[in-house]
Amino acid sequence: MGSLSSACNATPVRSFDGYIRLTFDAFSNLEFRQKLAWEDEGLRDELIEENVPAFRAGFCEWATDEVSNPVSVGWAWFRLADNRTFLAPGGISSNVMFIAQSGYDLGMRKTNELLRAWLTGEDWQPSGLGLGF
Amino acid sequence: MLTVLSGTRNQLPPSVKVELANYRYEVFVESLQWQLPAVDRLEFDQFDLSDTLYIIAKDEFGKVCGCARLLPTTRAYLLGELFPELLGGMPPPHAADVWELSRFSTKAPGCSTLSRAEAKERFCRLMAATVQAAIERGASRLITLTALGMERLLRSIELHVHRVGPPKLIDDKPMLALWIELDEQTRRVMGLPQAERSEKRH
Repeated sequence: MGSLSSACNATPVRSFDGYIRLTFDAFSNLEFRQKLAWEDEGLRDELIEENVPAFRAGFCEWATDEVSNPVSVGWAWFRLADNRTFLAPGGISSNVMFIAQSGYDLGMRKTNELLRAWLTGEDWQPSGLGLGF
Repeated sequence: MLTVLSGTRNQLPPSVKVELANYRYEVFVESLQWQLPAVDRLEFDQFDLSDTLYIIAKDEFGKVCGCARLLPTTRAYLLGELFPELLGGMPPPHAADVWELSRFSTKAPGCSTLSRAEAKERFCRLMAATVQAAIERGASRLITLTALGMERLLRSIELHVHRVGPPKLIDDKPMLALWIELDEQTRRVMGLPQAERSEKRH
């Protein structure tokens, strides 16, 4: 348990290739803040062309508050005419690579799947739509 | 029919240099409204030097319809000099195998008759030529400053991209720095040959 606990509390460190590598446990214990949320008509039009019934659409950005090596996650969203909001196709962008407890990379695909799983457990719906930090 | 050419500023014919600078003006200054230096509808900056590498796409009429600029990070480059705040606390990289991609566009100024599929194909053709040109000069990764829509597009074509740090507002527009890994994944989706492995099998 000692190693798990220290992994959970570890300060994010950037690897040689620019990824911030950490376990899902450590990631899910980070404190994120919404940094940006905005509507994007170009994205809405793009989604409509992809047959996604977007009435409104935009981007949302969360990050940790570290000055050095902040963890960044961002995603596109769309809203139906009845105001229900969904994650847009395309996954979640980040500077994170999840690793196993043994230290091995889980890979981009698994990292993205886990980011989606994490986000569905968060209150991620964009608030205060408008540019600004 | 799209044709792609590449060369340093020294190697490009004068007429192509002018056409390229005018295309960049129409796309980046007029259309995207980036705050960039421009003279007589020509956009160029302090990083456009005699040995700067360009990849240029021309349409069936011979008109410039896409461009990219590659700068080695062993010298001054855009992100490192002007936007280090986008690097999330990381010192600007300076390495022979890291090149900076900037001024990438396949946007058609004015009205475009391109279908979505044609626009995507044009984008991929220019990106593949850019990746190829970078690899030929020893790059194993690119670093770039871009808008979030471009990040989404790069991810959608399955290039191996990942963020350097969180986006920030530049001229009131969210911008971010991205890594583009020129690895097997990127080569595969760009239709480029895989790197030869140097290890000998015994």
